[in-house]
Amino acid sequence: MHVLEARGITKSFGAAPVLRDVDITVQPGEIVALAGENGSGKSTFAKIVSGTVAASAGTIRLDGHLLPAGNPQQAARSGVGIVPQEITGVPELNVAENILLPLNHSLLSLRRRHGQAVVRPLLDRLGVSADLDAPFRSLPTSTAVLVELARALITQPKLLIIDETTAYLERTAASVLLDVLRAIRDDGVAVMFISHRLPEVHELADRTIVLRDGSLVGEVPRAQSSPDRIARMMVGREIEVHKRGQTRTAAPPRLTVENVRLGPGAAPLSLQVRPGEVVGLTGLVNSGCAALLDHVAGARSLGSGTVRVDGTAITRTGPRGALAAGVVLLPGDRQKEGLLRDASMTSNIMLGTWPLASWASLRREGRMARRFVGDFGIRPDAPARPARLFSGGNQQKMMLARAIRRDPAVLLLNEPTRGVDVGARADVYRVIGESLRSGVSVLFYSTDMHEVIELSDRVLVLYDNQLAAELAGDQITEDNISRLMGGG
Amino acid sequence: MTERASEPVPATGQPGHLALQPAAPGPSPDGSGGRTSVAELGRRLRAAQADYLGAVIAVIALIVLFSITVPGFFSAANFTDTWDTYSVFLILTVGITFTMLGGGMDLSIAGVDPLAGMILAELLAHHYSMWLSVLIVVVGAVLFGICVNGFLIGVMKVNFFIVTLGSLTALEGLALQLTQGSTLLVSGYPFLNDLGNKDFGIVPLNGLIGVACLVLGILVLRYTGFGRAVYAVGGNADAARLAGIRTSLVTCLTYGISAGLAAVGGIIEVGRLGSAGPGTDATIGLTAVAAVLIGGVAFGGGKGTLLGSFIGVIFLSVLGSGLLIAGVSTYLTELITGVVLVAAVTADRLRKSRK
Repeated sequence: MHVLEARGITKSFGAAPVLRDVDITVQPGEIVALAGENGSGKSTFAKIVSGTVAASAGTIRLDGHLLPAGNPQQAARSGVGIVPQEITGVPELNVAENILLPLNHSLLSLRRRHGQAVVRPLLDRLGVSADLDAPFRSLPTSTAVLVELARALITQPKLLIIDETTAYLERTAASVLLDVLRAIRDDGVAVMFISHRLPEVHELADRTIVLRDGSLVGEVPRAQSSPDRIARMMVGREIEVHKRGQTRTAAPPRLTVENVRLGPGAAPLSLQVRPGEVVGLTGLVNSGCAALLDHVAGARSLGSGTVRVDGTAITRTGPRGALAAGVVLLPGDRQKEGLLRDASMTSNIMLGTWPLASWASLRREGRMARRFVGDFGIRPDAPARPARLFSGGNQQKMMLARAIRRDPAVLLLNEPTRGVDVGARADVYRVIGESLRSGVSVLFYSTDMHEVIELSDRVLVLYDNQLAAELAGDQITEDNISRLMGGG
Repeated sequence: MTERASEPVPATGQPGHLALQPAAPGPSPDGSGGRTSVAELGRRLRAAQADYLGAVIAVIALIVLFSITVPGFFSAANFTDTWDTYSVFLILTVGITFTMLGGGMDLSIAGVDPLAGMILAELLAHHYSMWLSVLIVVVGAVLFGICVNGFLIGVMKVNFFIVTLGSLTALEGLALQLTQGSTLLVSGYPFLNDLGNKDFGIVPLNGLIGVACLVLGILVLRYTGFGRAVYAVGGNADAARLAGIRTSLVTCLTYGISAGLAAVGGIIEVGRLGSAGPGTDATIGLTAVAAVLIGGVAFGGGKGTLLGSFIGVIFLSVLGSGLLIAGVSTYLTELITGVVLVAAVTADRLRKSRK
């Protein structure tokens, strides 16, 4: 008897297919890992099972009963618990109230009694010692994640879905979570575990299902699994051994950052990037990578240190100072900081072109944007179409076109391929490669380990707002990076 | 597209950058995007139709309805009359459209409009020349918009609703204090009188000024860097700032424009009435907001056009004039106007969400 039986699951957002005819079954007392690159459809699958997204086609059965599409309440009642990718706890409610949220919608008075009777033992089991009355917002991320897990477990689900939850955790906290998941499995719960930390997947999963580009490409039982094998299936080709250490011209550094403190009390950080060089930043969420990029771009100043471009310090504050010096940022959150959703593709690419006191010719703007549509492979080729109607990958290409159009000296990329499908990702990499050949310096942050390894000449690993290590050449390995990311 | 990309990526050029392949030859830029073809024109028309269709149909239906049922509605005299009556409303709506496209709203125009008239009257009473007085009032209003509303909203990031509601109340108080509630007479200025009452055939002078403000506004929004920046700030202020747009300045300027246009409206009112007093309708700001929303500007900004707002103004003016001629009482007129406003905006949302 299957706990979960998903048949022919297909989903498209607009024109872009995200899942194609995926069949997945999970048995009770089994941990199944769902592996795949960013944009392979893992999270979408999880959302379809938990009812937050309706599939375009296909059926979900839980214990043999058909689940209505796109109905999260019904999915929860039928026994699907999910710990979503983003932390979704209510900041102003306390720990117990957050955990009990799925149970009682109106019976506020019952919470306290429940809190004593049910929540404490559950948290003890998860190894969480936090005060039940502590507000959720006061919790450190690692605890918040476990509270989210408790919230998913409070309904005693038959199927527990864990979506990239360990991405928030340091290594030790992550291993605690893995132990907890094993214990839950041993209680007979089916666990679906989504992660792109391959060693974890290999270590934990009884069976690994690999998605690539929305299709199921294979299943690996534990006995035959290895991180390398899973990685090959994810990417769809042999992963090449990189030859690094190619001597670059001894050009003076293009971007110099000196003595920036990324957090209160953190040791100052300095770095240099030469023309045509790619330096990758990586670390856990809130390790300071994104803050560093925002600081250099003038988006959010940290109030310390100096940023120089070709030896000249940037003195003007704000994005305008950085832009004038040739420093251009590709924002990490394109919906929030990048896209004009209702504006046309053309306006999005050309945003920021015209000084306030100037004639802005729509026609000239259209002609200038034209070039990028072909160069960047933006599809569909509809310059007047509002940006919100394009797929995530094509929106990202618009953002990149906007950055490249400025002819940058230094390109700062925050998660350049987040939520981007494989095809668009290749286009993004190609465009970055072209910039490098013309002498642009690239400093980028990504949580996608493969991307960091594949693109970077040097990797700076940040931990707790400080530089943990700088890796170059053969030192750039998954093991090294994940160890340093977790503070090891 | 995805098929192609999932194939092995050929390693070319730089070792160490296996994923970074050189450009595929793109479509050659042959400059065909520069000309406006017939197809392009057709596409634009269809787009415009999608934006305004609902409002235009409502306007036409209303005109047909009143023409059939209300004798005297469909006449040159009423055309001139309506245009004259609603010219100030049009000018105010043009101003508020700027603030709404920029992601805000300016309710204080209902306070600026009468106060501008009163200050004009005071200046004239103190024997300032008429042109200087008009200049002082308009420039003063623009500075007020920039330095008070604009500064608080654009620089201090205070919520626009709080700021403009507060300044509306304060300006009303100031107007009452200034005049002690009395009405100031303004006479002996032929230009002001013309501004309020002169017609060229069926075309009222103040109606022409209203249309001039509208056309100027359309040109600014469409063809200047500032206009594009207003849309960008309304669409996504964070993105606009990161792209190097001076978002605070843009916001300040939109409030300067709305206050300045409100002052122009106030001056026309003085000409029309031959007096200035604090009795103007404080809900005129909200009615202007309604016109803008009927015209398809999104709450929150970044989307919509002045042409749409203009259609919204026509709709409300046709409705008001039709009800007036039909002899509907003012109380009932307000009731009907309120219901129709909500119905119009709701119908528009329904139509758009169905697509």
